[in-house]
Amino acid sequence: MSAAALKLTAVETGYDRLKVLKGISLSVPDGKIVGIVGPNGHGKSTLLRAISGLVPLWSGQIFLSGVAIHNLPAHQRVALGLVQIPQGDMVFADMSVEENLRLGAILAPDEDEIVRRLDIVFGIFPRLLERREQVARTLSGGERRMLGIGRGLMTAGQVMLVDEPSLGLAPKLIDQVYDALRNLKQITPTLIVVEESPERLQQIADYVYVIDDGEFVWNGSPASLRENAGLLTTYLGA
Amino acid sequence: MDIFLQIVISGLTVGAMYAAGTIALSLLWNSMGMLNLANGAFIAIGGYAAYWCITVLHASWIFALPVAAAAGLISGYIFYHLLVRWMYQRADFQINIIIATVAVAALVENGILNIAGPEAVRQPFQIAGGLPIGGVILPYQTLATFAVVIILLIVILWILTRTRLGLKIRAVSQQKEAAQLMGVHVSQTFGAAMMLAATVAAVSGVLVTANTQLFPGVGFDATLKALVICIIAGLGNIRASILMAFALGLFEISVQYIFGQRYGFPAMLTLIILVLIVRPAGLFGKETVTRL
Repeated sequence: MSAAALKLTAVETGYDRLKVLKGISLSVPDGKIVGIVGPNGHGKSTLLRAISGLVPLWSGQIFLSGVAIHNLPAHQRVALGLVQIPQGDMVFADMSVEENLRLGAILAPDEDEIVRRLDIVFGIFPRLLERREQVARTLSGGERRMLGIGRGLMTAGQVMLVDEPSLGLAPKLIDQVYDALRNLKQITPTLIVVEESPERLQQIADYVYVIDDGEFVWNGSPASLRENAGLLTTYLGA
Repeated sequence: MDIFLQIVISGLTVGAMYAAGTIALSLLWNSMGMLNLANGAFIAIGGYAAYWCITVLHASWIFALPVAAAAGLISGYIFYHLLVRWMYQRADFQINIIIATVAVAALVENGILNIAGPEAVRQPFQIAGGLPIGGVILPYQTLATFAVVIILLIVILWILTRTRLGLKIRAVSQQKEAAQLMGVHVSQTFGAAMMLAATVAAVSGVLVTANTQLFPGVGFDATLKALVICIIAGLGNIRASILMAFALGLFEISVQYIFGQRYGFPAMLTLIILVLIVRPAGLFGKETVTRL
């Protein structure tokens, strides 16, 4: 079997002296969608930020398709095919939609490639095509979420980390975002999606991890998560 | 009528000089959120580079601006790698860099003082003559300063809006983390913006010193005026600060004519206080709004 698309071994990190991740190990096979659920403030975002390189590791290792990336700066991890859609979109508010998308392809070799990727993203998000010239700060919340995801797609990464795609959106918009995530499989084969609630996530994930206080406390298929009602009550208060 | 024209022309002359001194300061604040009080050091470096080139090496005046640009580029590179890159990712960068750049300004000024001496000399980059309008003369020097300021402005706006580097600079200024997550090398981009600003400052230094004189502390006054202009216009709005430079040039000259020479700068300072009370973000500045 080839190396996992993404592999973490005993990852520990935190902020100042506060340890947030307490030995996280994870292996994500190529072409799979992995969901990570857990309550707020228990290390979900920190985990993604550690993988993408925004937070340095205290110990442990991260491999992208077998290549050790934990000592590389964030921008070099992007060049190797890792992309994170940050929480709250973080779009470039004073740029147009197209400029935002072009930034996602800042490492692309030439204009032809950029145009090719733009076509793909506009195919998935026709709304962004309509708003192409519009300044990002004037977009609605749902449009901004789509721009955030589209911008990430423009990097043409092989592994995509998505931080709380449903955060702050109305249910109808969440459905749209999840439809889009489902469609991403053709472009970015491997996804890691973090959510507070497993409800939507278990519809698209191949595998689910539950994180609590910086550690994985359970993992299994979405089906077994559904059967395990006690688990949800214990960790997620659902 | 002649007096009015004379005030307008003097105002434009002063305004063109202020505009030249303001571009780089505004650019760096706009792109990197860095208030560079060592702006005057680059102005002095550009002025002295042109002086040495023409007076000491006896080169043609044509080389003055390119040589100043090269000196600015190199000193911007050194400045970035010796100081800024070690500070920009730390907490409180925006405050700390102000203090650090004040120190750099003092160091450079004293360095020049030791090498070149304290004497004020004439900047040899001068264009004689002028265009008679009505009963007064519009100096070619003013027109040249005006032209260079416009060219610098166009080049900067072109770089910021039409090039890959500009896209990266704007991305880093708007969302540093997101830029990183898209693969932008933040430190390299910051360095490039710094070198661009230093180059612009050095070129403008030739123009500023041509209107005044060349001495080690020449950049201080220019930076002080530039700061006033930027704050009134709204920090970081490059186009507005250029317009404001001319407006304040006219304002200062008018005040000097009506009330006397010594009231010019105090009047500007009074204006800045009024503007800050009425519109804290500056006349054309954006209020920082956090949308959720």
